[in-house]
Formats: sequence, C-alpha cells, structure tokens
Amino acid sequence: MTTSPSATQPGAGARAGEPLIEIEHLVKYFAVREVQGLTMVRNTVKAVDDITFSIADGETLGLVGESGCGKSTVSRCITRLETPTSGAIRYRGRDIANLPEKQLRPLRREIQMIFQDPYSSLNPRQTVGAILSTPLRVHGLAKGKEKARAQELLELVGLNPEHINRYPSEFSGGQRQRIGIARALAVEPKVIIADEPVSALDVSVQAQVMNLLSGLRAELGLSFIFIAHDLGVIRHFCDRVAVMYLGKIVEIGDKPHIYGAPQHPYTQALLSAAPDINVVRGAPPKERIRLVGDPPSPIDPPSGCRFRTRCWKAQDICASQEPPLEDKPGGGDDHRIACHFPEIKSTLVAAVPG
Amino acid sequence: MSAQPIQPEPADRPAILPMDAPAPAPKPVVPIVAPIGEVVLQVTDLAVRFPSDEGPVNAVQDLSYEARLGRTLAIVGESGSGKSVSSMAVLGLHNAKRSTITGSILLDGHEIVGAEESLLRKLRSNTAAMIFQDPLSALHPFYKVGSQIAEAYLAHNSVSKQVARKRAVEMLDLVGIPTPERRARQFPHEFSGGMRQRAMIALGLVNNPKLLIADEPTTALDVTVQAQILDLVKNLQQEFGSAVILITHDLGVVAEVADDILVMYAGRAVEKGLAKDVLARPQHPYTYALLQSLPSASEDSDRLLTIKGSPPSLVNLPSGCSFHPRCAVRDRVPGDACARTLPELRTSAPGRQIRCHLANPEQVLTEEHFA
Amino acid sequence: MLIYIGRRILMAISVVLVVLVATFLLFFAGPADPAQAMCGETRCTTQRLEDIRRSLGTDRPVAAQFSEYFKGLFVGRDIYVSGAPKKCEAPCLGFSFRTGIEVKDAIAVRFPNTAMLALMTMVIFLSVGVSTGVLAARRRGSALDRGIVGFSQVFGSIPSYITGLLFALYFTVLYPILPRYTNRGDGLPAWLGGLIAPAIILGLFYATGYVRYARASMVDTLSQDYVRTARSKGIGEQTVVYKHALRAALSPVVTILGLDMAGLLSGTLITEQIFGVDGIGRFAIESLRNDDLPIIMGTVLVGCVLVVIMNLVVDIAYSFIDPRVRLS
Repeated sequence: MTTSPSATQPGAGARAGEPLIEIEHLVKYFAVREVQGLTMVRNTVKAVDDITFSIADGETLGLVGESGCGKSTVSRCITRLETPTSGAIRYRGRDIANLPEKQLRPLRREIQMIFQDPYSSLNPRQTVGAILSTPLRVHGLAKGKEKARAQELLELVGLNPEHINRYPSEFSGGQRQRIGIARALAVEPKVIIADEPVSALDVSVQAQVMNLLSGLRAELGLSFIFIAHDLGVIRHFCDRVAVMYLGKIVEIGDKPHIYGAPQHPYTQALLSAAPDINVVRGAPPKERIRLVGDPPSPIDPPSGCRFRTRCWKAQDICASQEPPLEDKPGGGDDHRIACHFPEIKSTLVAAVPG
Repeated sequence: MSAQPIQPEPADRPAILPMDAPAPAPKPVVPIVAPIGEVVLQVTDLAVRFPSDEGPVNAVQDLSYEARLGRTLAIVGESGSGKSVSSMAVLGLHNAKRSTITGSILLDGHEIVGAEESLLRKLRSNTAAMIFQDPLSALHPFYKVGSQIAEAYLAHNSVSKQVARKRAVEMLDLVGIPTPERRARQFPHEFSGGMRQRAMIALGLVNNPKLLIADEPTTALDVTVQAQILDLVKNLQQEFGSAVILITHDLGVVAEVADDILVMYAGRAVEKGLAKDVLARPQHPYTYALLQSLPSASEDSDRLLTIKGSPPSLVNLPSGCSFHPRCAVRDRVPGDACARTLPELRTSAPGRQIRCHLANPEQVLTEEHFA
Repeated sequence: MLIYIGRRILMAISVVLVVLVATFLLFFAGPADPAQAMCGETRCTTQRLEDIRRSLGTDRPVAAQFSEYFKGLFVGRDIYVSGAPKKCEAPCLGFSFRTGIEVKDAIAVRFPNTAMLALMTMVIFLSVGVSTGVLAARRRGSALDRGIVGFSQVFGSIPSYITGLLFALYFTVLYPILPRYTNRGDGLPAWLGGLIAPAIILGLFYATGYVRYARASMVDTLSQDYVRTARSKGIGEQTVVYKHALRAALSPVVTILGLDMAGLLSGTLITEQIFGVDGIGRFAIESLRNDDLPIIMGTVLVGCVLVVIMNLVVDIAYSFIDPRVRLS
C-alpha cells in the first residue's frame, strides 16, 4: 500500500485536529410534479433541510435514521453526486458545494463512496482488473503499473490477486463488496462515504466486511461517514453518531452519549425498538417505547418540530417553534439535541450485567 | 397519525403488551378452541429438490419439526438455507412439475406432500396462511386492498360479497389500521410500508387459520415500524391462539418474539430448541459464530467474530457436515469425521438437538477457539 | 386527467404538423414531378407541361402551396381543377391530381375496408396470440411450450407475402373454402366474408408476435409475489391465472397493441394487394407511383393522426388498467 498510515487513530481523540469536512446549513430539495384532481401540482421534497455538522480528520461519523430521513441524500451531496440547493460543504476549508465539475475532479479522488448493493454497483462486463484500474487512469495514478496496483488492492481487501481477470459475477456477494471497497481505495482517498455497505450481505458475511473496514480505517487513517439503519452496526463502527429524522439532525454526539444517555425522544424510540439478543441473555428488559404510525411525507413535513406527530411528549410549542440543535443540560461535549423537552434516558439498551 | 402518549411498561410485566395504536376494540373473532400446545404442523424428513442446469439443487434435506398452537417457531438461516423453501412446501406452493418433494408434511391431520390441488386449496388460508417479506410486491397492484382480503374470505365461506367486504374492513380494523372503511377502498400503493404489512397480516388472518407462516415479515420495514408489526403479530397470536412460524435471518427479532427456534444451514436443520436456550447458550458452531458475529446496539464491541468463506452451493454441497469448511472448531473432532460423515441431528440436552460431531459443544464453543 | 389529455392533444397536433411539413418538403425536394408524369414522355411540349403545372398549382412557391393546403384543412378553399374553380369544404385535403376526385371522399371510401380488416385481424391475433402465449407460459419448459415458441418463430420469420400468397392460392383458388374479396356494394355478408381470408393470414402473422409478448409477460407475472399470495389464499388456479396474473401481464401488451392497430388502420399494403382488398395501403402506394401529392398527403395525414390517437388511447387505457399509473 502506498499510502502511509496516518498518525491519527480512529476513536482516540480524533477530533483534536482541524475539521476535515464541515457541513453548514445544507439544504437539498427535489422538485416533483403530481396530479391532484384536475390540476398539476408542483411539490418540493425537502430531503435535507438545513443540517450542520463536521467530521474531524480520522473520525468516523455514523448517520442513522429511517428510510426517507435524508441520510443518503446527505452523502450524495458531500460526494457531489447531487448539487445542494443551498448551504456550504467545506472540505479542508474549501467550499465545494457549488464547485464546477472540472475543479471538482481532484477532490473526487479524496472523497470516495462505497455503495449498498454490490450486485448493481459493479459493471458486469468489466473484469475486476479493469474496474480497479479505471479510477487509476482517470486520476493519472500508478502510470504503467496499473495492474500491479490493482493486484495490491485486491490483496488489501483480502481477495486473491490472481483473480484480477475474473468478472464480478464470479464472486460471491461479500467478495463483490470487497471489490467495491478496493475500487474506492484505489485512488487513495482521505474520506470514505459508506452508504449501507453491509445491509445487503448475509449475516455471516457482514462481520467479515465490517472487520475489513475497521482494519482499513486503522491502517490507512481514513475518515468515514457511515450510513446505516442498523444501530448495532453503527455502534460497532462509529465514533460519533448523528440521528436524522425527516431531513433534520435531531441529535448528534459521541457514541457513549447517543447509546448510553440519549435525550431526543426519537433517538430513544429507535434504541428501544431495535431487537436485541441480549434480552435472552439475562439483560434487564429495555424501557419500552413504541411509536405510532409511519414517518410523515417529506413533501409536507409537520410544522415546528418534525417529530411531534409521533412524539409522546409533544405540546403546543412543538408545533409552533422548531427546536434548534443545541447543547442541553446533562449532555456530553459536542452533544447537541433538537428538542423542547429533552430528557436523559439510560434504560434503552439491553446490556448484560457483569 | 396522532400524538399518543405511550407509557413505558413497568419492568415486571415484560411479556405481552397492549398494541401501540389507539387500540380499537377488537372485533369478536372466534378464537381457536383447541388446546394450546397441540401440534398443528408435523414435518418429517422433508426434502425439496429443484432441477437446474448445473444439477439438482438440494434446497431442503432431512428436515423435521413441528409447530404448536399458541407458540412461535422461528426458522432462522441465511439466504439459501432452505428456510423459505421449506415453508412454502407447507402450503404446497411449489410447482409439482419443477420440484421433487419427499417426506411428510402433516397439516392439521392432512398430508400435504403429494396432495390433490383441491385439498391444498381448502387448507390454504383456511388452515394455514402465509405473509410475505415485501408487502408491496405481495399485494396485487391492480386490486383494492379490501377486495383482496375479501377474496380470501369468499374462497372459504359461502357468504355474499357484502359480508366478505365487511369482514375485510373488520380485519383492517383489527390490525390497527385507522379509518378501515376508507382504507379498504384504496390500492396497495396508497398505503405506507407499515400499513401494507398490517393489511397483509389482515389478509393472513381473515380465515382464522391455525397456522400463520410469516416469511421475513419485517425485513423491508424501518426499525420503529418493525417493532409495531412484531408487537401486532404477538398480540394477535395471543388472541387467536394460532401457531406462528416466523422465518427470519435476524436473531434479534427471534430473541424478541420466538418460543422455539430452528437454525438451518445449507438446507438442513443444525440446531433446534427453546429460543432463549439456543440464543443464550448455542451448541452448534454455526449458531455460536452467527451470534458472535452480530454487532450489538447494547454493547461496545472491538472486533467481530467472523465465519470465514461464504455459504456453499446447494448443487454441490461439501462432504460430511455441510458447515465443516467454514467451521473454526472442526479440529476438535478427532479423525476428520466432520469432512467424512454427515452428523445426525441428535439430542444434546433435554429439548435441544444439534447436528454436530462435537461431544462437548458448550466447552469447546468459547471465544478463544474462534479467535 | 383533463389537463393531461389537453396537453397530449396539443402535443399530438404539433406532431401531425411536423409530419405534414416534412412530407410536403420531401415531395418537393425529391425528384418527383407530377406534371411531368401526367404529361407523358413522348409528346410533352414545354407549353403543355407549364399548363399542367399551373392547373395543379405546383408552379407556385412551396410555401404558398403549403399555406394554401394548411388553410384548406381548417376553413376549406377553392381549387382550380382543369381551369374551373371547385369548392373544397374543410377539412379540405384537396383533389387527386390524377382523377380529380376529392381526396377526403377517396379515403372515406377505402377506409372502412381497411378498418374492418384491421378489426377482424385484431380479434384473431389477440385471441389466438394471447391464449397461446398464456398456455405456453403456464407450461413453461414443456414440449408444448417449446413447440409453440418454435412454431411462432418459424411462422413469424416467413415473409407475409409468401404465406399470404400461398394461403390465397390454396384457400380461395385451388380449394375455394373461403370467399374472395368483393366490394361493399355487393352486400354486407359478402364483403365481410371476403375479408375473412386476409384477416386470418394477417392475424396469424401478427399472432406470432403476440404469442411471444404474452408468454414473456405472463412468465414474468406468474413468478411475481402477488401471484404467490393469490395462490396462498386457496382460490382456484383459473382465478389465479386469469384474474390475478393475466390482468397484470396484459398491461405491457396494450402498448404494443396500440401501435400495431395504428399500423393496421393506416393500411396493410401486401395483404391488400394479394387479396385484392381496396384499402388505404394499396391506395397510398398507387398515389406514390403516380406522384399524386394530395392523396399522399391525405394518407400520411390519416396514418399520422391514427398513430397519435392510438398512443393517447393506450396511455389512457393504461391508467385504467394500472391504478399506480397516474396521468402526469
């Protein structure tokens, strides 16, 4: 591997350095047209609506939330697969939110993406060697030694380097995800954005890929934005966690705070709802919170606090005033909550005593 | 959707809890009057084989289990383990021309293997019903939700269409769908994911079957909605007293709702027993490794234990124990027996069966042997 | 929905306009000269040629001719035929250069022949094609399925003029089981009877395609989750296949049906020729051979309008078949 391992170790005081990525007031709306009765209505899907967060060098941030909460849109904005409607995305201090494609190209090298579906994200007509050397050629890396570099990458992700002439269909699901990871690593990125990288894999293979990612993160000093709906996967992999609901961040903080002392009702409901094996291993029963119904549509989100329609604490103020994402009493460092009635709960996970 | 205050349950009442929705008074649906625990489904030596270009696919082999009224049996496995294939055989849903099924499936006293289509039709939905993973694709996109439910009721009851329609609305109400009359006239695409799965459950229960097979019923749903649906299934089971077979890959879900568990690997049962025993103290190396490879939301974990390789091809199963190429403790069995002979499913403890050569599994299955 | 239809009609009109202009220009940019053709080759003096041009109106600039034609479509116009003005009511398609008959009338005489042939053909290819396709899909992989697919491929790849000629020869001449075509003037039963032979051969030819569409669509539908759900309800297999699977399987077939019908309604040259049916297809070819511009324009216009209408009909039908499709 040509990248020298960075001095920053994930998890350990990673936030000391300059923020690597700063997202400020990021907004992404999509226009949709619908027929209602006899008229055509133009609607706006407020996929991401004014969110702010940052990631330090070497840090791993987990984005968690249910379908339609905007977590994938955030990642697509950061990689500039989408152009944000407004707001700033600063990479090493430079705003890339509206950078034209030409100036964006060198930055694309540094921010790479791993996708959910290892079946559809690899071109079935290209050999693994071709898949891995295309990004090298595009960015003019390892000139003349593309093949050697591709084999090095295969080895790095735990695949046989001799399989360089095989096609994606000759690999299993887990191996294909490894190829996807190797492709992302080919251009020596600084940041990896992983969108549900293990959710399409079989349980017995999931752990292999998780361990591979952890190993690579430590070895290459990578920063991660890790998107998942599985709270166990997020807890295993991330230093910090941002919980999203209907295009907003409702709570963000260090892992111990989010899992051990969450303050936002939605975070609490998510944790309570997650099925856990520990309930049969002698853990005391979790506090039980059940939400009603499904999340509302992002086309017409509720006024004020967007969670209020499913929240058991909701009062008048929740409908009239949007709660800002801010520090609350009892929260940790850099632990922010968007709620009018925050309250620490620590009985939402089923930890086995001893 | 309404803001509904939900009081956390006191810790001393763990098992069954009231439904989450502003509970409509359940309609008087006649519960099954058979004793709880009666065997409603007895599967013996089931094998399902499909022809393929590469050779016969042994999807299920040597499978025996039973489902009892009032109990939930979880059948757990990865894709290709045979968990769905075996359950579809219970309703006789495999095309007889494109599959070979041997063994016996006794459903409420009727033999399903080799049964006439007319008998199968009488039993489907009426004695055993099935709900599927993705309710959007499992409901017909062109027909209204109410009429899809009514159709199943009409197939087994000589009643008028109006009565069947009323019954459909009742069922939608029962599964916690607000304004059921209006909802019955809507199409599946007008429902949210959670609502669709509720409608699917209403369809499954409309004839008050003794056995409900739920194939990955919450996999396509979000976590908070999944919790609602699992609660609903649990509550309805209490009310109806039916047997439930829950097919899933999610061991967390099993821990939350199942009484019994059957772990499948490559078409065979590898471990059977009470869910809480198996999950707390697994005896088969596969079950053990699977449990250890799951990242928990409740505890920090350093490195996950992994199972090397990937599941085998069902066309070309490994010799001996199908799991042996991936097993971390096969060297604990003398004479390379794992590669040579297929272990029988044997009773290893009261109420517990494993398919493994290990003489003393609980002593061998510790973390150090898997490092 | 109304807004949608309104929009589609506006779009349709612009499509028709573009096609009209293109046809007009093609005709004038090409080497065709109707006056030359009418004048003959041997005794055609320049003076005579000019006279003919003037009487046809082709001596004037293309733009003027087109605006004249266009105006006639909506308000009608006067056209000089052999020096005398003749009233042509809107929608005026002009008079044939050759015969002097009004194009509208000429088309109106032939259209019912073509339309009835198209209708009978559709009945045949839909009933034969779809039912055979469904049968093949239900027995997928069997000898019957392979037989059906094989036969439809072989039959479909023989040019229709060969099968048509043989069919006409055997069944209307050598073994005259089927009546030959006669004009409508000879009575309705005779007319309809005469259309049976061409409808059968054309219907079977089209059916080979529909066997394959219907089979592919049905195979796909039969493996859908909702068909499995339907089976698990304990309803009869016929209900599963026809109520649940077939309805869903037919929706893609409707698209192709719309285009095929538009094609059939604008005339089927070869079949009309073989069986002597006096339809739009034959008429259009004759007019092309004669450089008879008003008739060419007329048949193109009719065909174009039919395609556009059938597309709209398909889209609206779709929204009735599939409630998920909202007209937007």
